[in-house]
Amino acid sequence: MAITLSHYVGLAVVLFFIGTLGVLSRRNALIVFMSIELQLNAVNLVFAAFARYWMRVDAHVIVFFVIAIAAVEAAVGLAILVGIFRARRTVDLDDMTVMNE
Amino acid sequence: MNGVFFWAFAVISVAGGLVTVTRRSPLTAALGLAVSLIAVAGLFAMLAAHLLFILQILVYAGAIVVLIIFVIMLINQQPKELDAMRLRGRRFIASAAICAAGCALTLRALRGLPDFPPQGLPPGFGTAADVGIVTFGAYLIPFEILGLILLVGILGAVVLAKREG
Repeated sequence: MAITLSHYVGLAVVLFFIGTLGVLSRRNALIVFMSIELQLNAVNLVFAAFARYWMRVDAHVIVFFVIAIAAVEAAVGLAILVGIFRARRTVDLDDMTVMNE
Repeated sequence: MNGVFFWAFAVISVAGGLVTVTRRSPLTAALGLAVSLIAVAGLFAMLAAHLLFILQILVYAGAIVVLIIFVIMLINQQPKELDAMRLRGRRFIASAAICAAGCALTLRALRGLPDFPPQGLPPGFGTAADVGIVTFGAYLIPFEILGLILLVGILGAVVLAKREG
């Protein structure tokens, strides 16, 4: 069976929703963070598949931007997590309810 | 042949993703994430995205995963705290139902996508030179803004990390 565009897009959808599952169901902030990386990566796969379909590299440039922004997000996001851990000694999202009270 | 590689990478990336989402220990989750990212790098190579293949391995599976593992070791959660944060049955089942429904609906909406065009790719498609010409042509201004964002991100991370000495 030949591998078509819909195979790549379908796989990306499955990976994206696995990431969504992690974001919705986990309480450990580090694992939620990794799930967000999974979602970003699934979207990158869609971009690469459509770049192959249209035979244009513009989408590769967008993926390059997404990867760079993901690196910035990792640096700042993890610094914030370490800051929260220093102040509250926890990374449990269910305990982070200060803004909620 | 293409099919064998595609399904191998697909199964590995989905398995890695499920390990990331379901494991109690964040270190196991990080290793699952690395496996998933490397499998997707293989798919980039199959899509003739040569530059993205290298970037995925260098930046994602290299730098970002190493940064995450570094922070996991810095935070060093005890087994008791990890047990408190493990998957809960009801919340997990509700989330899984929402995600399965969303996944099924999206896949249904995407049915009937066309196949890849039959003619071959132009020579040099997806190489660093090819992507570079487009990046420094049509996308020059976004690229410069990206450099600025990277600078701000570095400064922000340093400021956040330095607080309380």
